[in-house]
Amino acid sequence: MKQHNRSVSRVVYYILMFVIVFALFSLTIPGQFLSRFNLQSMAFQVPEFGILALGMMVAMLTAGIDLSIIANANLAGIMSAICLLKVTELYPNVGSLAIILVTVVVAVISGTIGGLFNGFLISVLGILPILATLGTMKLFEGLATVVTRGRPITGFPVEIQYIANETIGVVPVSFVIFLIVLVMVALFLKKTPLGFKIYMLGSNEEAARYSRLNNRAILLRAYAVSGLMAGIASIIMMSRFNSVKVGYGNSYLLQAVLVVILGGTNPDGGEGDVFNALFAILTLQCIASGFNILGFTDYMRNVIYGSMLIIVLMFTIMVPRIREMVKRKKETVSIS
Amino acid sequence: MAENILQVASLSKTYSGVKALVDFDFSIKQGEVHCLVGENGSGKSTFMKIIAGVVRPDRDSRTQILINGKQFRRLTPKDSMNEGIQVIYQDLSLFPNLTVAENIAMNQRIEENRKTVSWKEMRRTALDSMEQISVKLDPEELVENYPIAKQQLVAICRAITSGVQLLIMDEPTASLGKTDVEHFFKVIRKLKERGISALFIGHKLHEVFAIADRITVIRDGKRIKTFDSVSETNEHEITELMTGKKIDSSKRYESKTNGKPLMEIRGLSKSGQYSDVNFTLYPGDIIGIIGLTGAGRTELALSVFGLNKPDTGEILIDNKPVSIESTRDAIKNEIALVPENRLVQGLFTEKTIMDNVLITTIDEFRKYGPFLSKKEMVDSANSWIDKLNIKTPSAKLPVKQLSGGNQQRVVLSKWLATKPRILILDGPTVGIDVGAKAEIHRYIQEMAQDGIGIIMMSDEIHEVLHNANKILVMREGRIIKSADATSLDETDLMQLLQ
Repeated sequence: MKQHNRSVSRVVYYILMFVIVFALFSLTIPGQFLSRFNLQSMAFQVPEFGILALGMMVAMLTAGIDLSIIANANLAGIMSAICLLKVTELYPNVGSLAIILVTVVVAVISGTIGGLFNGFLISVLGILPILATLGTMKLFEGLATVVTRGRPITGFPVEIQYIANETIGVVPVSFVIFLIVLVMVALFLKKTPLGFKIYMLGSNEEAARYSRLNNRAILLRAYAVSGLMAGIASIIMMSRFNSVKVGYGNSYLLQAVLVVILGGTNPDGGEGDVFNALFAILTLQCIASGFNILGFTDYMRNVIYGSMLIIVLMFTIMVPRIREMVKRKKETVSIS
Repeated sequence: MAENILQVASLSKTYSGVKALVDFDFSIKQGEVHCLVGENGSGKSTFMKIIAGVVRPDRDSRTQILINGKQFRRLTPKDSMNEGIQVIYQDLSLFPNLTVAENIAMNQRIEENRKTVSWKEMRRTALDSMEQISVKLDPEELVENYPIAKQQLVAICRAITSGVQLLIMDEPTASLGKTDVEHFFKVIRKLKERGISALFIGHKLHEVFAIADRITVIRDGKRIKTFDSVSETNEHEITELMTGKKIDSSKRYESKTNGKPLMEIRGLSKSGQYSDVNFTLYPGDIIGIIGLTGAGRTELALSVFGLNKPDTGEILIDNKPVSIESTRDAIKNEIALVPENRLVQGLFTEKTIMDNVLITTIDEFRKYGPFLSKKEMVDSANSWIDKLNIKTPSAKLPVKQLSGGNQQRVVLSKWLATKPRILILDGPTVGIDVGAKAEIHRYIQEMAQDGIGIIMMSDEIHEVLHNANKILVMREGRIIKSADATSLDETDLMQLLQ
């Protein structure tokens, strides 16, 4: 019961972090930050890297990482775009439902295959996740460049553009999709046997093996889920810009890792909560938009994100150590 | 009659209301080996720390600390060292990345507050101290390149160079193999010849009996009894005094073996690990496989569990040959393993008791489509906590906060939940208190009586003798003896292991 209360109070920290950052920007640049335009544009931007961050989180829960997630999303978007344009070329009168279906199915399958390939390298061949996904990042990028010759593919039907550019009331459709995906990932991680096993495997791979878990199958599926997220994100990315292109959204990689760690996911695996991650995502979006309004350059933003990542990592390493020190002090006062 | 080098009287220590040491009296004569035995948390370490000057005892006018005839009101670590008291803690406190000579000479050089280094002199100091206890180590070798047993000798040499009169060691044989222990005892006897006293804090009783001049039993911070000679007592009496419980030593486990063989191992071999292992396990059996570390017992256990594929030989279950090449085969054949290393292999220490208990059966809790039923999970975890009497305020407590005995109950629960037919236990009570041990043994016997076939690997003679109905002695990868437990006694096993 105690544990339960503690995890509830943790979410409160992340909400607090979001509220503070939000308030900070609201107070310093009230006119622009609180404008309907800015708030809505934030809601438009969150889904893209938010979904990528969820994929990254699943990989990191297994004590791994998926550096290829953006490249995988780009490749999935390109695959989907090519298939879509082929379909509309062959059947000019095809209906809206079919258009969306083709786009979604191809993107999701392509992303998942990319993820499965990562999972194969990591679980079957035993390559370190950071190296395996660094390799596939370049591989996916290369493949996408070869297929498109580096040129963007544009001109999708209006149905596709609708996904990321329309709103329901004031809320963007893509934001609703993001929330649905988020809830599904949360259910997957916390309420299914596979999710349970992902946490356990991430916490202690050897104990998992000795508990007769099929570590290979679990890792393979975790990376497939990460790839699936890349596939879903690719649909939103392609819709928002009405184009797909190699190298699009590369800056999201650092951001995705940053929000996952900012959201309290243990980089050593086994610990992390989707809802904590949500508030980390929202917080980072506030920072990104705030900086944008303040006119920070991309370079400056990189400096800040990079430093943030290092500072947060320092904290995640220091806090348990400090706690340990405090505990040891207490222990010398208790029975030895 | 030799003089007391150390004498304490009415020593008490209270930690925030908890009495760790109560009116404790203790003495060590010159050139004596005195063993202090007790369960974890009995106050042994507190006493050791007080003598080292690290922990200050409670204020009490009756308290007396006499070292070399001198009375100390407040003992500081420096006083303690100046009087020739050297403590070797379990971690040895060596610098693994420095050489043997540097480690040995370290203390001396710090004491003399020297600013320069003479490598030649340091080497001489090291060789000198090693000669005193007839030990040969390369002074230029890095300490980390030596096994733990040799590192311990380095720590002893360091104590010698610091002019040790009383050597205090905390469970010095905890991580040593049989031959290392013997060598270690030789070293201690050498020290004794030179008039150096030793205080051992230990729990392996047969070793205590092999080296001690006197034995003091401590329980709940109180001195229960001191024996002036090992011939005045025996291991059973000491165990009973340590735990405060009666233990029947002639007891053997009786298998109500019935029916057909559950598992048969025929000529199982794996090169470099074990060879030509044969035995038959019936439901209700507890087969005790006793062997020292390195005898191949763990490797054999893993082979039956699907984590270490044997080279040749056959495993039959229900008289049918099976291949056990992965843990999936272990699931299929309903084989469970309580592994040797509880904290790394047995448990997810960061996770809760509930998570740990349910990990093996989590798929059974899928109730709503793909989703788990939280309520059933909590109920199941709580029922195991009740069944195995795990002492915890909540199923949501991280396992790392439990004692060793309770942790092992969690491991047992997670496997009992799978309703295994064959259960392999590798060192089931390693690092567990005597009292908690007895309970674990009781559970093991109950499981066997419920018809599970149990294979218990151990290096403890008592554990195997009193809890198994069949005993196999394993040495250097071979089964050198296979017999009913009733036909064996302690001395037989002791001889076979040597």
